Order: sequence, then C-alpha cells, then structure tokens
Amino acid sequence: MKNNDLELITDFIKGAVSIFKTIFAVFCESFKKKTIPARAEQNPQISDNLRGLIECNYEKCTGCGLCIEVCPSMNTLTIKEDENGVKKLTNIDISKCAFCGSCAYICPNGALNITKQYKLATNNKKDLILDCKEIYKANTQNTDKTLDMPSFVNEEEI
Amino acid sequence: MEILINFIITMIIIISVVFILAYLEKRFSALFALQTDSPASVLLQDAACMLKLLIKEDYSPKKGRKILYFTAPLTIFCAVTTAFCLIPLGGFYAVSDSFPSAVLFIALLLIPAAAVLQAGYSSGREPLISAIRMTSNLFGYGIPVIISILAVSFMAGSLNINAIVREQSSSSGLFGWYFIPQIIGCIVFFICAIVLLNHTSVNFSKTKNTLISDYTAKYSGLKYLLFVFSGYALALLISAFFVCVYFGGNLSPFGAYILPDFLIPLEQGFWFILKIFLAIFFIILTKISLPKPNHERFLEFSYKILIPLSLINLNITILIRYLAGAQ
Repeated sequence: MKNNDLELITDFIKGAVSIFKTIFAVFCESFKKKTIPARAEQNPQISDNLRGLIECNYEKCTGCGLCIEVCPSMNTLTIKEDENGVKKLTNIDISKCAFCGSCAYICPNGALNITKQYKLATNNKKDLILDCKEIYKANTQNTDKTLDMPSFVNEEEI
Repeated sequence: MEILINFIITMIIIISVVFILAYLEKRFSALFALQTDSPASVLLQDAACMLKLLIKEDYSPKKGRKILYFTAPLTIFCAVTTAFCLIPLGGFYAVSDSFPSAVLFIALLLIPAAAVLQAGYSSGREPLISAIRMTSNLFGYGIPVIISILAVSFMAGSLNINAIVREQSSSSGLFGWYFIPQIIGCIVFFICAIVLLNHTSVNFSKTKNTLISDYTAKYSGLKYLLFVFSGYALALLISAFFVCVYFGGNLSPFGAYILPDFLIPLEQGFWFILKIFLAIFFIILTKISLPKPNHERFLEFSYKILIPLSLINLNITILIRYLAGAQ
C-alpha cells in the first residue's frame, strides 16, 4: 500500500511538472518571431512510388484495348484507326485521369509508362488532352532527352 | 441614487471591457497557437458578429416551456452584471463594509448554473444534455472556489470583499498579498477559473458531433447575444475576483501609490485592470497549451483532488489562526 501511495504522489508531481513545462514552452514559443512557412520546396524529393503522367510509346502500341477496359474513369483513353488502318492509342485525357497506373501495369507490349512528372497545372483545359503521336514524334527527333515532356510543362522548373 | 449611478458606471465599464476581453481572447489564442494573421481582421470580426446577431430573425419555438425559455438569458445576464457591482474597482464602493459581499458573490456565481439548466430544459433533448454537462462543470469547479474563498475570509477575518482587499495592504506591497500564504488555494482557484471560462479544451457542453452545438442551440438574435455576452462577463468576473482575493485587487505592488491623493482612484483602476488582463493572459495560456481531457476524468480531478486540497488548505488556515490567537 505504501509503495502504491508513493507512486501515486510521484506520478502526480511528474504530471504537474510536465504541465508546467508545456505551458512554459508554449509561452516561450509564442513570443519568438514567426515566419510563414514556404508553400513548396524548391527541389522536392520525389518518392519512388509516385505515379505521375502516363507516357505512351506510339510505335509499340497495338490497339488491343486492354487499357480502356482496365481504366476506372470514363473516356480517358481513346483508340482510333491510323491512316494505315492500324488501331492505335491516340489521345490521353489527363483531366479525367486518376493516375492509378493500372493501364501501364496491364499493357502487354510495354507501350504505356508511368513517369514522375507531376506539375500539370495549366490555364487552358485543352492542353490536358495529350496527342500521343505528336509527343512520340517530338521525342524521337530529340533523342538526347530520355524523359518525355508535354508542351505545357515548363522545363526550367524541373 | 448613489447606487444607481454606481450601477450605470459599472455597466458602461463592463460592456466596454467585455468587448476588449472578447478581442483579447482571440488575439491571445492566436498568439499561443502560433498563428500569423493580421490583428485588424479580428478587431472587426466582433463588431460584425454583434451586428449580425442584432439583425438576425428572432426565432422562438412555438411549443414548450415558454416562461423558462424567455427568462433564462435574462437570469444569467442579471446575475452576472449584479455580481460586478460587488467588486471594488477603485474610488467608489457599491456596498458598505459591513455587508458580507463574498457570500452574495458566491450565490450570484452559481445562478448561471440554474439559468443554463433552464435554457437546456426548455429547449429540447440535446441542449438539455449539454446543459447538464455545463452545470456539472460549474458545480464541480464551483465548490473548490467556495472553499478557498472561505479560507481567505478566515485569514482576513471578514466576508466583505473590500475588507479582504484592504487587509492585504502593507508597506511591503507585493509580499503582503494573499497568494503567498494561500498558495494552495490560489492554484485551486486558478484551475477553477480556467474551467469557468468555458472555452475550447474545457468546454464539454459544446460537442458538435454528438450534440447540436450547445445549450444555446434554440436561441437566436438578441437572446443568444445575451448568453455570449454573459459568458465573457462571467470570465471577466472570475478573473476580477481572483485578483481581488489573492493579488490585492486595486492595491499598488510597490506598497504606496505613486500618484498624488486626488488621482489615487485612477491609479487603483489602472492596477486593477492590469492585474485582470495579466490573469486572463495566464488563464488562456494554460487553457490553450493543454489537451482536452475526458469529461469523467475531468470531474474526478475536481472531486478527488481539488476539493480535498482546498479543504486541507482551509483546515491549515483555521489552525494557524487559532494558534495565533485570533478571535
């Protein structure tokens, strides 16, 4: 019984001391000069699991339509016939994309890839509908660039 | 006639100081929560809130206990404003020295509990639950206040608040006040003052997820304004009484007044208001830096720790007074 009572008293004193400590800490902190924290870091660390923009390799695509079946949102991907009569993935509508990445996982030919590109804000909504063929052409001409950048992305920011 | 003039002056002071308190409460909370907003926006917010409440439609339920419903805000308002007249601001005193004003003060302090129950009982089921929570807080933390006031009155040898303040005056100034011999009672009173303020982290009557909002859920317009006003006035009243009892009320901390004789009431008022704002500062600081406890544990803390502590304090004071040979 005596030990219990002692423990109670010591616990009570410890609690009181910790309360005083917190009050004192808040008091000290509140009179320091406050700075508004920056909204975004200049060079943020991108995690390995980040799923960004979907990139399409136009040559590898066979137009099998598996990606459309798997896609959770409607009308994101569109498949049309080429001028040669071959079915190809032509457009990706990013405004409807949920960035789940399931199209890239399901693709049997490895035509769709997940990139780490996440800065996608634009003023014009039409910029969000990507033309796969044009992007592929632009990529193949500039072979130095490994990563594909759509037209609306400012490269200086990256 | 003199009493009437005193009452009008105190009412003017209360109304102006309560709005300063409402502003300071927000500013201090923002300061301790490390916010970085501009003070002007908060200054105008109170005026906007008051205008909105005055213009708002005066709703009242068609069925129910109408007399209780309409008298509840008036009861709490009258009780709180009457209690203000008992506090010596400096210069003039509303009550004579032979009148036991501390007893009346305690009685008026517990009338808000009845008014809150009235409001909850006449409003409906959820307001009644929150009103019962509020009254349990008011009683649980009102009893230690009463016991510690008793200890102080034993020490001063009087139940009159003016006399308690006057007993603390000495040439040593700050060291003659009662917060040094009555340190236990002072701490108990301080904890109770935090609870009677009834703002965030101790407001168990306001739980928006289970109960609608508060016991004031069915009140709107001017009646709601009366409730809010008397809530702030009660907070001011508690801190004013705390200052009167333990920190020498309107006495100067240097022992003697600095200004010449005819300006002494002004200086008394200055010291009193300064002490009140310091008390409110520390009350809000303590309130905001601690997390919200469980309600049952919270009431346990009052009944198992604060009341025994204040009783021990009372017994020690009586023993010392008896051994010192007082009447």
